[in-house]
Amino acid sequence: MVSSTDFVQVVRQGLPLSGELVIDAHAHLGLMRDYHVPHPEARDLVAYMDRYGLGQACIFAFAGVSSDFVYGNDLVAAAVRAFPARFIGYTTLNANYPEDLIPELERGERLGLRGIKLITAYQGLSEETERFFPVYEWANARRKIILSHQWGSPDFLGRTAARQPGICFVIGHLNPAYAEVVRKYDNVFTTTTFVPWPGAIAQAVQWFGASKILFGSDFPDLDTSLNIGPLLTARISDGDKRLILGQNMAQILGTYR
Amino acid sequence: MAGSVISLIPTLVLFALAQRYFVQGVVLSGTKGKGAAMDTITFFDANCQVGRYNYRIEGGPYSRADLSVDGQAQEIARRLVFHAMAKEYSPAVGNQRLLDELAGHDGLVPCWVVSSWTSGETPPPAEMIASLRERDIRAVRFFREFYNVPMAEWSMGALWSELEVHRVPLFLDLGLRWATMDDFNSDEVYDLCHAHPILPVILVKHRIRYNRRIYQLLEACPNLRLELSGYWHFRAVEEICTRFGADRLLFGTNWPYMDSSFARAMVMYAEVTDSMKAAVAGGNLARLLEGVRW
Repeated sequence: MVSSTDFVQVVRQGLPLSGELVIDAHAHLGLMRDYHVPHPEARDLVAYMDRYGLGQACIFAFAGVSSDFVYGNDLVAAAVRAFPARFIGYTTLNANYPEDLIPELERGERLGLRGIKLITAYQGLSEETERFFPVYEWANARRKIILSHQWGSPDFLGRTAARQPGICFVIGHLNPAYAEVVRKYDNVFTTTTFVPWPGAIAQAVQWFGASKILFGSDFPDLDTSLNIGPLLTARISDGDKRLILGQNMAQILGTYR
Repeated sequence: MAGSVISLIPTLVLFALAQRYFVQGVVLSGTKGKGAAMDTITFFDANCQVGRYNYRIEGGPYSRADLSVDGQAQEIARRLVFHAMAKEYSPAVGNQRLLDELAGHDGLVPCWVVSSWTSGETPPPAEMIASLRERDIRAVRFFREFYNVPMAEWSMGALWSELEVHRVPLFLDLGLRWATMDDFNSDEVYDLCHAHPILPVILVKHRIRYNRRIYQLLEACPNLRLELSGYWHFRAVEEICTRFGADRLLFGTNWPYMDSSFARAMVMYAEVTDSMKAAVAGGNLARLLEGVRW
């Protein structure tokens, strides 16, 4: 284990984190309509993860965001098969295909995908859509992780988390509006994703609690430096950095299926 | 997916407004890098401001003293700085305040803001150049949206021509404030670069998501460079360096809106040669400033 000063030196020198448990809770795979993704193949992403010392990454397909989610889930499954020690696959759903939701979840399970990814903001639907209610029932019975880009109103997230205690709810992008809900419910977490303004990580720890924050870099949308730089240089304890970098996510993976 | 996070901006701003206690520099000790690479990579920030600004993050940094603390913490040796008032109030007032703020601080290099001279609020091109030369100010910045002045030839061409003659780098800031993304006209950038092919033009934007048109612009405009802090893309540094050359990218932080550590990390983690890192980190900017001809 390295000291606090070493965390800072690691990022200053652009070195991989070594001897640390690092799990990226928010990452993608594939091509994207909005921008060019260089070197998008799974093996390229593994090499990229090594650059930073990311041991594992939870991945979901860009195709599931704005195109064919079934195609995207197949891509993720192939990546998990190729690199089972590095990728934790998530099944992405599109509520515009309500008849396919449960069958696709079951197919994803057979393919070895562990979590569920929702992103209705890119699909023209409310994050509170009732079309996902059967998904919550399915996931609750199987103790699944669901990461959603956002979760609608804090009240909605709180009610859903209380009603479905078997689900681990992960907020895909850090949003202070959910701070109270995150603190209140043991099964609600947030990622760090998209917090590059000065002092944001230390502030997030105050708002959410270090035990409820998961490192998420959003690669290969964003460069991982956007999130690793502010986290490793944040004015928080080494213990809190380790919780966020991977210990919290490891606990989740040990608790949920 | 961070794209539609733009829709979260109101809540994120609320978040930011609650900052009080956490914006402090990370004081480093003994962080000189291992080996030759760190010894030769010197960071020269191409994009930061000083002074009170309108949408301040509560508790967040803004002053020259804050800037110095951040520079020490992040090991940024030099910074090209403009004044927030030159962006948000008046170029003339802000530019003068910048000189007052930076006096005696060698690592902080002034960058003046330019705008239309027709109203008489800023000097006409020849006088502006004389003012720059008199004070040895070697870079200027144009805010396309803040003063709502077109950047086309009929509007600003006379100044662009003067800057071109003297090789004064022009930082082209095309956003309103930090929340804006992608909203600029590629044709305007292309036209300016082609009308003034030896004028160094540096594109500055809070965030660029549609990178395909950046590729197109960099390919079509050899005198165009990109400032890094708005280009959050995966493998950003190596993609620009390998596709277009390391001389086309300038390290910048967008401080105090952004944490300086992320752009710095983008350079250090990039899989490019140390000489490319050194160029992006500060060499390119230093060369541009040295290239000014008075």
